[in-house]
Amino acid sequence: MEEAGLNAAMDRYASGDAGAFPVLHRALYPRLYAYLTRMSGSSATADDLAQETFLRMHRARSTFAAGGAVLPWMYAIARNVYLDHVRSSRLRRTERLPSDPGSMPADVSSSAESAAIAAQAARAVERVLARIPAGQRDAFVLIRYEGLSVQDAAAVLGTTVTAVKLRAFRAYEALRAELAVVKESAPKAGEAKKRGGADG
Amino acid sequence: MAEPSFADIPDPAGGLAPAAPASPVTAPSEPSLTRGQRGLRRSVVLLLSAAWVSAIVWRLGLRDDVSAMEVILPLALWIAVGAAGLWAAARRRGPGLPPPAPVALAVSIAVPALFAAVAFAWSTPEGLSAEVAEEAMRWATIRACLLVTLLLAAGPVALACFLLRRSFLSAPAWRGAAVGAVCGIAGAAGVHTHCPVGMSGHVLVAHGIPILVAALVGAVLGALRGRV
Repeated sequence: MEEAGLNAAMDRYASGDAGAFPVLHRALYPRLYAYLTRMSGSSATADDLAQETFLRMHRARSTFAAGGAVLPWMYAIARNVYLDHVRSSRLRRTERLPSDPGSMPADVSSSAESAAIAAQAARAVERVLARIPAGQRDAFVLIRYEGLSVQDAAAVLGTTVTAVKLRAFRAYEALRAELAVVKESAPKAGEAKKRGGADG
Repeated sequence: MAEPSFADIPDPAGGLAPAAPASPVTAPSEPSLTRGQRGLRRSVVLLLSAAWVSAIVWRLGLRDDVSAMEVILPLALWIAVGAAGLWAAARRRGPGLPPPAPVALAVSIAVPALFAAVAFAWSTPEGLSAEVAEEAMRWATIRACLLVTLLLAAGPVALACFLLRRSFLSAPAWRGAAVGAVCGIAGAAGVHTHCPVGMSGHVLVAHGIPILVAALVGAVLGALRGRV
């Protein structure tokens, strides 16, 4: 569903049209689920948090500005739900995100090596996202993975565009540095394997 | 700073198949305000806040020189500062979300600062006898005005807390402080129509400190109950 249609649905829901809720739920759930999975590191937790987010959206529907954009609003609420979850459970993100086995190259001969490198890269990204300050992680996730503009991300995070750009850039630099290390070590690991096979 | 391309960073959750939501999904049964109901509630809160301040001032009695320019001008300025602060804190930006947290912070600081600036600019110590000046700065006099101003501000703060619970998407403490400061200056403006003392020292302490108190209370309430 295109964004204008989503915004219109949310406008109707804010005005009291209960029939707009299933439309919103169907359209927003996949994005919300993916976002909360990235934030929480757990798909089960993400489902619970997504339900809580929809409940809060329902409670706060009267605060949705007429003609506003529902996506940034939803992400702002989802972020609050996640923050409350972290505070109440007093946990830091320790669970790994499920790595991505789906985007493997078609070339069968190098598929095993590519899969290993991709998995290493995914784990490196997870490590860095878990390690960097929350502000940097939030800004980067919203822009890179959720596809928000810098302006919308700033609105979600309640800060300025300049601050969001800076945070996202710092996260990006940290991720790039880690991925460079992974790429550097990957060919050496491959060569060591081949040598071991030849000697063996 | 040139915008970097983030596309070279892989998505560790990219292979996740989105979980299909249970269907059919219906809206939660818990009652919640609609936009129209909230608008009505907001109008009622504003009216009740004005009525609260007016009723207390009427009960205490207006100062004799309430129609004089040196009373009306600072009063008008303080009301304008409060209205501008409320507008700045409540306006929405592009996607319909609230302004950045630094705006709320700026309002929380600017409202009491501008109150103080107007109080200094319209201070009327000239012609006051030493006895009157001393009386104005006695703790008993200051305390009476302080309590009245706090009472005047308490009504709008309580009503704002009722209206704005679970309304702030971000920075609830700063947004609560901004709203509290606006409620505080409403109280200070109200007491100005009753208290005849124009000395800046008296006005700053007895009428101005409640603005800071209201901002602090607003910050606490915002942090506790304000976030969506």
